[in-house]
Amino acid sequence: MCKALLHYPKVRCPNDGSDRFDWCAVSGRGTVFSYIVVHRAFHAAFMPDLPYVVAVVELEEGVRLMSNVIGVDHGDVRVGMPVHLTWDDASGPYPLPKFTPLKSDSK
Amino acid sequence: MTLYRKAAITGIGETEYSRSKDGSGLSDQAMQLQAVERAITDAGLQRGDIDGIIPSPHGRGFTYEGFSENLGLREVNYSTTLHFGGANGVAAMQTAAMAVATGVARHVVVVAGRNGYSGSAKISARPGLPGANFENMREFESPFGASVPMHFYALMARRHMALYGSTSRQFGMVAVCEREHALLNSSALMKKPMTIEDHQNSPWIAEPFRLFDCCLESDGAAAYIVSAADAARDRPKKPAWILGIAEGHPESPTSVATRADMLRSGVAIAAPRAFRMAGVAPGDLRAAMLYDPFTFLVIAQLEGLGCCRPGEGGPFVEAGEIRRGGRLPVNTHGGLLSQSHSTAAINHVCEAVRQLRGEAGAAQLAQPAPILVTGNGDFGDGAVAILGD
Repeated sequence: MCKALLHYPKVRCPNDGSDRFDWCAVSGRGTVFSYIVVHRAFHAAFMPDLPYVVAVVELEEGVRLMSNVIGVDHGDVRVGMPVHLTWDDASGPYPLPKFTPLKSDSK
Repeated sequence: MTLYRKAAITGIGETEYSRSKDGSGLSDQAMQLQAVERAITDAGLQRGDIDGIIPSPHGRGFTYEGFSENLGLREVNYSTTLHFGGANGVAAMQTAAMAVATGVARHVVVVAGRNGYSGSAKISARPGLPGANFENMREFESPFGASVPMHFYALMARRHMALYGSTSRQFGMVAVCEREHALLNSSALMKKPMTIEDHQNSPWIAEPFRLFDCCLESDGAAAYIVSAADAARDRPKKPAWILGIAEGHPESPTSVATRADMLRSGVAIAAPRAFRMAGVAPGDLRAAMLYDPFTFLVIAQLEGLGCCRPGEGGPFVEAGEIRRGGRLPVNTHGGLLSQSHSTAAINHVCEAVRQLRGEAGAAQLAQPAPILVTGNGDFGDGAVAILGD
């Protein structure tokens, strides 16, 4: 295994062709790579959340993922903003990895 | 060997475009047939002359069997279907040109169209992203409310704003300029002038995109015919010669979030091959029909094609350079934003051909050649065609 970090999961590692993968823990810290503020839902499930922030978060380890930035006014989100992991609905059936600004954590 | 001048577009056909809750009056299949029939007539051909067909997978249209049966085609020597969304209409030009340049077929028809407003293909009415090729999106992105193409292109636009300082007003100028062009085109759906204030006052849909950053949903179909060089010369109308043609695909094509360079699209990757084949530089272009599901994509493509340096697309547009009379008129038919969206870029191809023939009516450019056409589909698949006399 080449130890490249991959997300999203794949059948083969595009780096070395291996089909052997392992999970690894990451810090949960990252920055907002890009974001949007959704004002109109195209699926009824998201209507109660409007407006909500969809963000691409780049983790310290270098991989990116799609998520939401929560716990902050949507007008205060910026590209480059430091964020960290927070589990949404942690005890529910579908916990989702979301992000919140680092500085709100220290308040 | 390249495809330079090995094939030409000899016929174009479009249905009427419409946005009515009562529907278009045509099924997806019937409108595709009508577009093909009009293209055959335009080329001065008989139905039986068509020996290749590239149908679109969108909507509820025909596969090749339906065209063959309904048009009475005696001999279909070539058929394929591409899966690049809105890039299909231009990417198909490459495979059609390959087929006629090698003698596999003589006249290949490329067709797409659907009831994208009144029918089941309406994107804004679908619960999620279709297609098996989007499974990562469904599993890892849709749960966060990133559920329609707009969201992914808005993420690219925000990244561009952060890197280069591009603005919502610059995006708005794309919509304003294309609306000006649409007012010259009787087949365009949007009939009212748009000011930059109209754009800035339109509601946010997914910031940084407002309502008027987003293209229409509409009903309609379009088709064109690619003919072999020797078969193109004796057609009644002036052939639109394919000077350069290329398709390109971004790294990690289904994942905008994880690709190394979020802003490097298939159009940018294809462009150098198309320009090299055509022997044309970006500065030589006299017009461009750029696939425009969202205003920002016009700016991104101007940069990706090399018509502007990175970050200079927004100021170029803001200065009015994409208007008729500007340095590079863009989408003289009104584009997806103001003419129609339902043909996977074939309405852009049709306008390029009309310009080259001198049939573009009030939108006619004095010197349209060479003219560039792009398709951009799914999440960054792209194709670039350069057409000339």
